[in-house]
Amino acid sequence: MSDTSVKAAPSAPAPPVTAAAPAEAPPAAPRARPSFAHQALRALASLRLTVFLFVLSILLVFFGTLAQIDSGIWSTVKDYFRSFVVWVPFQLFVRFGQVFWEEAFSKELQVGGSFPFPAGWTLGGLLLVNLLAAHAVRFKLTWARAGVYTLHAGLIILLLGELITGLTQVEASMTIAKGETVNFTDVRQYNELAILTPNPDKPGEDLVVTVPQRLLTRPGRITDDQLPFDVEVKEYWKNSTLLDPTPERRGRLPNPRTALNGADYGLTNEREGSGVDTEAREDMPALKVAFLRKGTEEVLAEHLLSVWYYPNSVRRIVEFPAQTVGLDGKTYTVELRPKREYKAQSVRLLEFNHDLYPGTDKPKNFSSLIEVIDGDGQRREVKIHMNNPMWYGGETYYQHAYLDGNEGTILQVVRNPGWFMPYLSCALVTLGMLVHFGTTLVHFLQRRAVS
Amino acid sequence: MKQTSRNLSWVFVSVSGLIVLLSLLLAAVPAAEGPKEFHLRAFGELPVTDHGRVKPIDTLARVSLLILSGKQEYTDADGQAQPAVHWLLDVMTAVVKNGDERRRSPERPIPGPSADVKAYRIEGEELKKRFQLEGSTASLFSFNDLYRALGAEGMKELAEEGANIDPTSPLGVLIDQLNWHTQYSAFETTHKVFRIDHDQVIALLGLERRKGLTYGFDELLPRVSHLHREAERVDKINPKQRDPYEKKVWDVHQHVTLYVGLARGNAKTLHLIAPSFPGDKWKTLPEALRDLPGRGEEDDAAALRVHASTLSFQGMLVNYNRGEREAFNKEVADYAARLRKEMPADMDRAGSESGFNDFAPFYRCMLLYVFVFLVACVSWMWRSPVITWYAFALMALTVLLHTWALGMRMYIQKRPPVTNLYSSAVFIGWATVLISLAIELKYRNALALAVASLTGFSTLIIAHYLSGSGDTLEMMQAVLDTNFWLATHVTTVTIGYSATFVAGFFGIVFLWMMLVTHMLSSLREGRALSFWGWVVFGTCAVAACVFVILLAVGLLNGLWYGSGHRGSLRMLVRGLSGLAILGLLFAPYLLWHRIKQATGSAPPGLPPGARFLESFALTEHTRRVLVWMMYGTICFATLFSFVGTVLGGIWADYSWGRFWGWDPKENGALLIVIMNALILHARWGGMVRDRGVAVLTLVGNMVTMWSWFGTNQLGRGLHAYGFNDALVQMCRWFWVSQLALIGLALLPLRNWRDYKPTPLAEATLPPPAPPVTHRAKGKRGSTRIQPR
Repeated sequence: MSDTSVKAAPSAPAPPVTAAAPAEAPPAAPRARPSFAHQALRALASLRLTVFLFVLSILLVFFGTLAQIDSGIWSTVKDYFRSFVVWVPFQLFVRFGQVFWEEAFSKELQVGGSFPFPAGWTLGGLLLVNLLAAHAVRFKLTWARAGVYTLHAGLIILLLGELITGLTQVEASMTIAKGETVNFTDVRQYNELAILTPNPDKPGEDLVVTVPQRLLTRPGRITDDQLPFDVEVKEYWKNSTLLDPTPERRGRLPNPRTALNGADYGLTNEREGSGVDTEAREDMPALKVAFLRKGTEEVLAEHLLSVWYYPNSVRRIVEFPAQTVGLDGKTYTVELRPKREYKAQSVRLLEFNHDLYPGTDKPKNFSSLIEVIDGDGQRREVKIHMNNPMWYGGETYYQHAYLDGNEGTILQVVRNPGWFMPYLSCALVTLGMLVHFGTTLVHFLQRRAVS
Repeated sequence: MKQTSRNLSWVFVSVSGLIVLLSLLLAAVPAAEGPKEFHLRAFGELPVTDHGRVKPIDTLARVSLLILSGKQEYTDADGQAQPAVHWLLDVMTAVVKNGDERRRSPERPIPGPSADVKAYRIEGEELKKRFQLEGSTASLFSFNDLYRALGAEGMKELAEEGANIDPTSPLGVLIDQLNWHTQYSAFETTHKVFRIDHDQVIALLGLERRKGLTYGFDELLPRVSHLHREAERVDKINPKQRDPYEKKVWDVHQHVTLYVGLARGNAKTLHLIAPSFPGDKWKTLPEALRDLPGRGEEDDAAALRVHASTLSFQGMLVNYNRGEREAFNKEVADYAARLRKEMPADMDRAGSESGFNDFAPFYRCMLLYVFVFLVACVSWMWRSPVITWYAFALMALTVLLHTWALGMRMYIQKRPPVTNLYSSAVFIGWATVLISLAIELKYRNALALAVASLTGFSTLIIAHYLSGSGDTLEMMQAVLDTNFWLATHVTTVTIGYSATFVAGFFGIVFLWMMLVTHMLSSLREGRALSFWGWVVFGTCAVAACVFVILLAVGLLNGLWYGSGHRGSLRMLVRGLSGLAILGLLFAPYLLWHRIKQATGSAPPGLPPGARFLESFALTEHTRRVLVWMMYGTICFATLFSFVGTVLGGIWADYSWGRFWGWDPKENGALLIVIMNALILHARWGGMVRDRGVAVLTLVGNMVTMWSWFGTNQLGRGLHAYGFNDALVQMCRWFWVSQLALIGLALLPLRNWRDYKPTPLAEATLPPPAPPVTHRAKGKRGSTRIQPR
């Protein structure tokens, strides 16, 4: 128990209900000379630190919410919650003002500068240390404190669960058009540059070399033995927009490409969208890249690649011809696509339904009837719909979205080894609070009855 | 004296109680509809399908009228308030009525008054020549002027010419205007139900700003083409980037579309005609009429059965138009009787909903909450246990009514109570009242009742505002279509919000009472004050008065707003608000008395007329009680907001595989959990005491408002429903008010003590011993409220 709380508690005109609370427990027996380690532990265990950390957490969550006005959810989560320090731009406060006090903050107002702030890992870690230290210092096995222990154990599990999720959860999607069979998922958080050539030994299969996203986001030359040629990254766009060939835009489309349907489509650099945007849209990155003969400056081909052109894109609107690089008589197809993971099983879409409320265009339900084909050829039919996912091989398949014109379904595929921890935590904390507040209440009512 | 006071309080209780009960009973039992009048209520109970939901025509009429005019009833030409169904029937029969008129007098192709409005601007010789108006010196003409000049043939030629010329040329614009006018003239009615409150839009439609800002369709009609042209332009602009004028143009355009849809019987998603036989579908009116057999086949009994609903509905409209009351009533009764056999469940629900609309239980709750608040105030001043008991009974009655209303909504919608922002407000209000009532049960001092009535009232006002955008029992989006999670996550988390608000309102009461306490203590002692002492005293006096006045004015205007801005009440509200503002004079009065004390010309003690303030001072007892109320409520809030938030995460994990997405709304809920935990830990650690807890509960209020409405305004995230300029304003001013209160609470408090409402002479007696507790050891003697 911290010194400060021992001193302060008895003089506080606190209602007696706090008698069961940690601060009101009788102070520990005086020790002759507490060791330095013990003093440090006490400091770590202090309730003042807890409250201070709560204040910082509230501010962090608030900043992390405001930050989503301007940047994507993924970068916000990464910068604010899954890192140690975040530089919070002052512009956030301007944005807050622009939403809630339009008259005082003009839409154009821009403020530079930022300040450092402890981010999620730091605060979560400190809260965990504080909690563990508090229990180490004040541990005393009594029934009166059983509730507090249970609920704090639940909180520890929740924090650890979020840590495990942050480190290990993989969210991917599986896009299947009607009648198609697919055996891979796209991990949309990461993209890769894929270089494909037909496999001379196995017709119908490709040989693939991929370059991961972290090498693509900065301009520079990538050389590797496995690559048939050198890759020089010119520009990386976090998000892009595909422009339809409307009459007004004719002849003025930036970066035009002709689709398989014969029309020209343009592509522009776009602000990063938030992952759970109102329109629930994904980022569609693009990559300006040159392919050079190994070790020379000879340009084989130069392309503006984009996930829009990727045939399995979740937002595909039209199909585009493949982008290729020719080298010594061989043709390589290059594409920018979400990181691909192959599965043992494959999935076939039998039917996709998009039900509306009668007479409206308000969706009532989305459902996909799929056939899962195991690695050993076993088949079974499964219906996935809203609030009814499929569990398979440690992964969960959810109805996520659909292709334009209900032509196919997009399933969200999530692997999260820590999925059960929130459930456990919720149960423990609820139980703990019920016990703790319940005993407090009973004591209070008894006291009233006596007096 | 005491006996008189008790008798008087019994008189007050019985008279006002009788009035409340009688008015409720009268409202609950609607007057019977006589045989000589249209059975509008029976017609209103008939079911239709709109936005995928079976609802009574009454709801359709009310919601449509609410969207157009902001009210659920309208004022006819004689200044009489009329039910929405009446208006809807007039709109739905407009086509028949105008058609009859046109047949009767073919020389007037547009029978309504809009034909005589001088709305066509024709300038320049060439244009005038085209309209054969060469001699005229005027530049504004009515439809009839043009029709008389050109004749039927000339008008036809003109319309044909219009197809080949540039629509933006002066002639093209005029032809466009003529076309829209003629086309929409079939739907012309004169009820003033279009509310247009933007001067530029009023000017666009060639109208004049008038009191009430409501206009008839006949007034919009001649220039409706201008509206269409502007709306076409606005349509291309992203809704979030439209300026106020463009937003309003779009709104009015949508309103006109809705109106025309109702007149045609085919408004988007509206299916008026019920299935005629098992397996039949709901149909729109035009669909159903198209399917009717031609002449000669009508006698076929089978055809009659197949089209029974269509024929009935047609019969109702025709008879209504002809004024055949008995025939209309018979058609309505027959239709209802047949549907009751075919779809009894839907009929029951539609009937209940129509009755629910008629009774307007939430409006009645709103009135009752204000009344309970007043009775609670009376109970403190009168100090009569009878009245405290009465306030409790009234509150129990109100809660019953509120509960019944929530239950009815659940029955009608077949859903758990919270399904959208509107129902969250209604439910949060209910939960705050229930929590406070439980606390009141323990303390019986009407404090919790006052808080409950305020939270109940203000949440219902918010709900009333949120209902303006349409049907509050709308169908759920696909992802929300799960009663299990709606019942668990949504209900729990909203109870968490409610409890946090209750604690925060106790905090407000506590802080206000501290201001009063300081003022009274200072007056009781009557000693000389330092400069800062004067500043603090003055601030307390002014702030306490301003607070009460704002409360009174807020209640009055809220009531007026909740009653649908009834014009007859406007003067009353203004008058009473003015009277309340006079209360501001009380602050200088107290200050003046205090100055007299300081100069020695008045003895220490309260000035005449200020003794009633003693009821609102913090004694040791009330302080302890209030702090316990805050503390207990925060414990409750922590439990529910935590469980609710985690359940939300589990729902998310279960339905799209992401336990926590750091979405703004999720973050908002998390903030409430952390805030409540912070208050509890700060108190356990002795970092804050009574005043500190009260201040922190106000921060809790701010956080809850952020989570409830603020996060929705960012336009980001899964929960981004309900953008609203007014909500932005509400959030802002709520935050400012809480910050102002916190600022007041942080005034230097050297002299703030518990108030002892005993005469000074007796104050020398030893103070009563503090209540002995069987757990807490040591003396809690200090009654000084420590600033921490």
